[in-house]
Parts: sequence; structure tokens; C-alpha cells
Amino acid sequence: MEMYIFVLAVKSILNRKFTIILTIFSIALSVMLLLGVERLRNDARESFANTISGTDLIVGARSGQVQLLLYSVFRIGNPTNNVSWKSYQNISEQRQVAWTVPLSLGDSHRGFRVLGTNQDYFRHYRYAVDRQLEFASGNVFEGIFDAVIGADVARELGYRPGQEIILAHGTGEVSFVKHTGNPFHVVGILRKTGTPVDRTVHVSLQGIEAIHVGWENGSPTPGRQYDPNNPQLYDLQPRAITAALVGLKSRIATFRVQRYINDYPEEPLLAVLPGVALQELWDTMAIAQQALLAISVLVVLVGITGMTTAILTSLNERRREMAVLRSVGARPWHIFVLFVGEAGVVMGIAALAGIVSLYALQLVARPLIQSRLGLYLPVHPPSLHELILLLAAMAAGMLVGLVPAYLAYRYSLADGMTIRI
Amino acid sequence: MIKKALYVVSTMLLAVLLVQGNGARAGLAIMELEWSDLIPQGYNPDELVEQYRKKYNIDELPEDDPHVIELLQKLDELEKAAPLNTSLDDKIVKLPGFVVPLETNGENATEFLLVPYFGACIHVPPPPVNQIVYVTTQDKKGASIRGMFDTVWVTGTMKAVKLSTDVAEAGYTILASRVEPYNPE
Repeated sequence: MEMYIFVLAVKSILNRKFTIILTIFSIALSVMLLLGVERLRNDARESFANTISGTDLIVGARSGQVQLLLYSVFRIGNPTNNVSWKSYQNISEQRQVAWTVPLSLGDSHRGFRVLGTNQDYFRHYRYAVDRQLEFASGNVFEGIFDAVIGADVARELGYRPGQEIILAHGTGEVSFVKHTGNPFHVVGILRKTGTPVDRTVHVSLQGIEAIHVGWENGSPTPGRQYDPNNPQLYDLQPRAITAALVGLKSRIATFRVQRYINDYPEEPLLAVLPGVALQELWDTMAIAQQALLAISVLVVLVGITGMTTAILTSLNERRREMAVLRSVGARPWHIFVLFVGEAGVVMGIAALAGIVSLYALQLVARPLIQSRLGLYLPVHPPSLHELILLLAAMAAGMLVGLVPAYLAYRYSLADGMTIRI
Repeated sequence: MIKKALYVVSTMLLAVLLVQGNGARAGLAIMELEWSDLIPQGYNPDELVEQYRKKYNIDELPEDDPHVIELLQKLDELEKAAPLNTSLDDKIVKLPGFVVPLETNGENATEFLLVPYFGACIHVPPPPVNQIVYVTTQDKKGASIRGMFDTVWVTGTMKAVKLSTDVAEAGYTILASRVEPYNPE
């Protein structure tokens, strides 16, 4: 007998498949939105936090702490000013300072940012809680025109060690002024890190100086460019850098060194604690993120309401169907269970479809997000938090599904097997 | 009879165990600290000023008098030295404060500085060494931080390193076993 009811219920659903598919589609979209927003929120946070580790202070020209963090580490936005080499030297010589790494930005290679630094970068830069940069092939740059490229640069441009590359002036996707006279050679490729390092071309500070020989008035002077055959003609000692990473001997001294740099009399400098700057970034973004989450919860509710409306509208048409069900032996509570079950099945399929489409979207959007925003969003199985959200959405669907189920129960009690419409 | 003897013996055993348990707990009692406890008792710049006042009558002296300069220098040194209360070394302590995150994974901080006041930055020099505690969490996952300058209770083993060496700078460190949100009563 139960078998009959089940078969009839399935046939009933198939009979209304167009409405149900549309309902499933709208709920799946809303579930995808909800999970997507939640995932972006958590993963963006984690991705940002994993980009820098082990650095005690970031030093740059005076601006805002979030801005300094964004342009120096995430290569988002542009530097406000430079730090003179003299000040940088002075800071590195402080007793509390264990190491410093200079960063020089402003050039690019086919849309990838170029970072001028020195070998210490590969020694001291840490990401994702104390992980060091590793080489997939090749080694650290030695010569003036050597370059070490990140994993994504190598993959997307198909570069191998030995490849000749030409840097462009400026940080745009395209540049009309290229440093054609002084090509660089790829000597090393880094392993994938999931940070902006993957999308960076690393060269020596001297290399950056060399390609800008003859640029004193802001554009290349014809006939005056670095001649590798006469290196003695040029002073490649950098005069300024964009920012510096600073590691201290003791983290207790952080505030003192920060104060020293912020009070630096020779030029206006800013030192920020990466952890604090990140926290400030979260706090600024928290409101927008909560608004997004609230909106996506509302969209799910709209989807569920749509489903209920669809079931409710079909109720009158289905009074005959219920009478048939009663005639094969269904009790009123069977009808109740059938209606709740239908809501449950719709929610379940929709949730599944939502997850599947979320992963599909993520796979498509990931490279774009990474290249545009420098955010590395890993594809991972749904987290506990996401599953709880999903279950909550399904529970809400079932709960709302109780209304038409109750009405159907009442109808089937009243109508019995005869029906007068 | 036997039953009674057993009862007596077991009661005594229980009593001994309880006393021992209490004793053990007393030895490892968690010291609830205030930030003033981190400054050793002998540390008193006012006393130094008083000494000089009595000895040289400095209030009467001009500002460039060698004694005044000496006093200012000594005060400065005292300030910089920021001595630690070494009696707190190896004690299990509980201390409230503001979190300045150092290493985070987005939600949790595994390393942070604990300071007694909010926004320890711009107007005055940063807090002296004896008013900063460097906290690392025992739990690799770290402690959940609710926002910028969150207030927390930190419970853990205190280390007071008195002298700066090549490997460690003078200052307080807590290896935290617990970090919980601070809620003012």
C-alpha cells in the first residue's frame, strides 16, 4: 500500500515537473549565492592572512597602514612614495632589527608585477605560517639581469629557465614603454605558494636600477642606456626603494622600533604591524560582508517562499489527486508526510545543485579572481560551517513546507474520497 | 565490623587524597595579575627624585646644572631599563589585556602582544617593556580574536627574561594555555 502511495507521489511530481524544476533552479541559485558569499568571506580572509607571516614590520612612505600593506605585500594599488636608501640602511642597522628585505615596485612584465629585491627575500619571506619560498627549478638570481619568476607566471606564459624576458615600465596590463635594451633571463621558478608571489617577477635591485639608466627625466633618453659591456660606467646603487620588510630579534621590541620609524626625523615613514593592518582591513570589510551575507540569506528565503507558493497554488488542483490517494488507502497523515517530503526533496536536490554550481562557478572564476585581485581561493570540500548553513536552509524549507502540508491534511480530512470543487 | 573498618579506611584515604589534591592545586594556583604587578615593587622613580631633592636641593638649581642633568639621565635609564618582576617567572598567571595580533590565519591568532591600553601608538611613546607581554598559544590553532584590539583573559605560564641576550630580548612572555574573551562585570 505504501508502495502505491510512493509511486503515485513520484508520478505526481513528474506530472508537475516544469514548475518543480523551476523551483529547484531558483532555490539552487539562492543556495549557491549564500554559500558563495560565505566561502568568499572566509577564504578571502584566510588567503590574505596566509600571504605574510614572520614579518614584524612593513616599512614604507607615510600613508595608511592598510594601503601600505596592500601595495607592498599584495601588490594591490600603487605606492604613494619611496623610502630613501639611506633611511633603509639606517633602519637595518638598528640593534633590535634582525633582518630587512628591500622591495622595489613599479615595473611589470606582460601584466605581472616586477619586484626588485635582494637574495634576502628568498631567505626571510614567509607565508602561510612560517613556510619558506621553494624553487621548482633553477635558483636565486645572481647577476644583474637574472629573474626569478612565480609559479603562475611560468605556467601562464610557459616560461622555463633561460627564457629571455623584457620588462615594461609601469604596472598596467600593457605598456607602451618597454625596457627593450636590457632583457632579463629567467634563472629560477618558484613553487606555487597561493600568494601574490606566484604572479611576481623577482629581479635584483641593481637590475631595476640598470633598466632605468637614462631615465632621469622620466622617459628614456635615446642613446643612454645601460651597456653591459661597460659596467664600470654605472652606479647601480639604489637610491630609493618602495618598502621594506623588517624582522626583529624580539617581538617585544615591536612597538619601540615602530615608534622609532614613525618618528624618523629625516623623512616621513610609516611602520605597520602586518597582523594589525590585516585586522583593520577585516574590520573595515566586516560591514560589507555582513550586508552581503544578510542579502544572500534573504535571497534563500525568497527562494523558499517561491517554493511554498508553487505548492500552495497546486493545492486546489491536487485535491482530486489526494482523493485518489485516499482511495488506495492513504491516511490523512500520509498526505501530510507526502507534502513535507516533497518540500524536503525539492530542498535537497536544490541544495545539491547549488553546491555543484558553486564549484563550477569557482573553477571558472578562480583564475580571474586571482589575476585581478591577487586572491587565491582554494577549492576545498564544504566546511562544517557551510554544511550548517546548508542544513539551516533545508530546515527552513521543510518548516515552511509544513504550511501547505497542514492545509492538504485538512483538505483530505474534510474531502475524504469524494470531492466537490 | 569489617565493613566499618573498610569504611573508616576508605574515608581516611579519601581525605588524604583530597588534601593532597588541594595542596597540589595550591602549588600551581593561577595567579590573577594586574598590570601593576608586572612592575617590581622596588621600582620607584619618585624616590630617586626625592633623594636628589634632599641631597642637592635641585628645585633651586638651574636646568643645566650637572646634578639636574644627572638626575634626568638616571630617570631616563630607569625608564628604559623597565625592570621586570622576576618573581613571576615560571608562575601560572591570568592577565587581562588588549590583543595586538602578530601571526593570524584570518580567524585566530597564534602569536600576539598583550598590552594594558587600547591603541598604544601615537600620542605617547609605546608602553615600556614591562608593560608588554608577548603571548604564544600552546594550541597550534591559536586563539579566536573578535576584532581589532579585542580584550581577552590570557592564562598560561609566565616567563620573565631579565637580560637582553643575542637570542632573547628582555621582557615577559606567556605560553598561553587558555585565551578567553574578557567581559567586564
